Amino acid sequence: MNRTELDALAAHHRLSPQAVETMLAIARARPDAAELRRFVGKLLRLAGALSLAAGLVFFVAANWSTLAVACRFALVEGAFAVAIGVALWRPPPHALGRHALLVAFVAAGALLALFGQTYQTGADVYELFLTWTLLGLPIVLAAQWSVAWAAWVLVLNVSLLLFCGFRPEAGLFWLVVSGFGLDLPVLLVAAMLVDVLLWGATLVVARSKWSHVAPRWLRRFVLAAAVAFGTWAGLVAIAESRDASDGLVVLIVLGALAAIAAHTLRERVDVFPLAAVAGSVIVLSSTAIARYASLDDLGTLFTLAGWLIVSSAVSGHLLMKAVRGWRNEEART
Amino acid sequence: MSGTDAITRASVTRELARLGVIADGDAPAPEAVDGRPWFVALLLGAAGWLAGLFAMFFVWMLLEPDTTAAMVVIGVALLTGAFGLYVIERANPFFAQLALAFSIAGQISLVVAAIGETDSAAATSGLAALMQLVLLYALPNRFAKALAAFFFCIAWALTLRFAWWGEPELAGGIVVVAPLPALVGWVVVWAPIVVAVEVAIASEARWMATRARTIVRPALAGLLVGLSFAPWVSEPLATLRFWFRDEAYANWLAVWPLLAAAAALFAVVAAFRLRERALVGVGIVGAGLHVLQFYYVLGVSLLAKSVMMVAVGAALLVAARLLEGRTSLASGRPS
Repeated sequence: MNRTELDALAAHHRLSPQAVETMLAIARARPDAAELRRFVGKLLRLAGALSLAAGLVFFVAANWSTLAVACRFALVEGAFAVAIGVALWRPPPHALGRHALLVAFVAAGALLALFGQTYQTGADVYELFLTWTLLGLPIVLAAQWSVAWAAWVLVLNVSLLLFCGFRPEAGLFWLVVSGFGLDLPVLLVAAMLVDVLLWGATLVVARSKWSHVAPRWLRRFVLAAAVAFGTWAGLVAIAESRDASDGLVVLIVLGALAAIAAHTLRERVDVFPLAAVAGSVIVLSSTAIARYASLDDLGTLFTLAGWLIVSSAVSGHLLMKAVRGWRNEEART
Repeated sequence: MSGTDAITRASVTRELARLGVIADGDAPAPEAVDGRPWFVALLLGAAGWLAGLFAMFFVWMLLEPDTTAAMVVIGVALLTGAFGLYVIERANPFFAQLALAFSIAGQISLVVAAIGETDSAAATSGLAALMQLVLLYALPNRFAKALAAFFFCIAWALTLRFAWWGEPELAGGIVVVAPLPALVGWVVVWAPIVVAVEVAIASEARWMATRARTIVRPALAGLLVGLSFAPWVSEPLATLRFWFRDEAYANWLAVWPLLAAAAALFAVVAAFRLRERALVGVGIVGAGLHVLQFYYVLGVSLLAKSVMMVAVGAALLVAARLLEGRTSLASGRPS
């Protein structure tokens, strides 16, 4: 039971403060001291590991000229080696090993950045993140931990954002694709498809014995990234609408959104994908109204405000219907 | 969280009846109408906000208010309309969305009127904070109240920030703040909100038993989101100045994001105590964003920031280890 339901129960039965205390205890609505200590301990450990890792990244970014290049490498490589050493000493699924591998994953990125900074390799920033994604994969696989996978997904999406979203027109990978004359919407669709495939992979993992590696929040994170890229692609394609490829982009995006919605409606477990799809459709349809409605400024503003209110209200109504219906089905089973 | 999902309204009601806390024949409580998951609330909130902006420009273009009084009249009329819509049909999503759009348009109109009248960012922020308090009390909708509490956090932080260190400038006008005033300033801004959250959680059973729950519950959610995200806006424009490479000056306001990350972690723990999973996630994301902001904000060198992060990391790991030791002692197991 969540707090809203408990509030409703307290209001309905006009409970006294003592009765509310009893209700909160029955509903186990508050963690006991041991549970709270365990949670805070976990939180401090994660925050501590990430702070150390961030300190390393800040250090590389500081480019401290007083320290010789060899010393800088020794420091970052030393941190990486210590993290790997700790993970070997207490391998995952031990918490220490997992946290150490998370630090090692971040240290690998810091090391790549230091390499690029020192030797002026000429690599574009997306190449740093892409290389980090590839080289970090074994570390994340070894960690067997959803948090490490979330960090990996984040780095992958930053590289997709830098390459597909900002079209750097530089670097080795760009040389490979530049011959195809791919414009922004097409590149963004490619980024969306990468994330949709990754989402599919998380769904498969969630049904396997490794389900703890792909919990619901991680699946939602990957899906949100996919829908964000898709929405951006569709928005640019609708707003610019220059040639047939833009129309194709919109069709692919709508197809992907429909596939996500269809899969979610078949599974009837988590409503989040439907909410993401609804949000995307609202943005795309609003863009289409702004682009194609032959209205003056006043008319456009009025229509957009009205459309946003109607479409979001209908979406909210249908989503809440699904939330309640699926929750009841889950309770019955 | 820890199997509480399996506990249902029916089972709690049964147990309360068995203990004699409620009468056995009492009618079952109706299902809570406003129990939206966070992502539905986010979707509705974002769409309502955007609709509010379009509605606001529509009204402004239509009526062309050229005086502060005219802007106030528009703002008050829109807010009254929002209030009326919330009262007429609280469970209807269309009216709720329309009310949210009216409310946003009305609030921005009143803030614009305040800017025109006072010509001061500090005074405008102060008036906005007061307006949010009034809305928190008056609007008969949980989501609108939570938004009001969140915007109050932002307006409150900006009021003190502008009143103490002046108004922000994107180019030039470098603010130089020593460590102690920076620390004191942060505590003055955020400690009252931390204390308010702590008091609200500690006295939860007392206010749940009164009508105050209709205000305190959404306010608590808004304050927790505020602790997670509002500090971002309490140092406006600073994050956008990362292309200014002159770090010769020392501005200790640059450590505010690090303190804000700590506040976000406090919000995470508070949300866990309320078993609000979504707010736990919000706090974690907020803490991450503050560390990112800490990287970009100028005033302290990256080397110093690196040392601070390492020191904070080591301290947190030691604290975690000590806590584990206490947990093991309490459970009688070796750590």
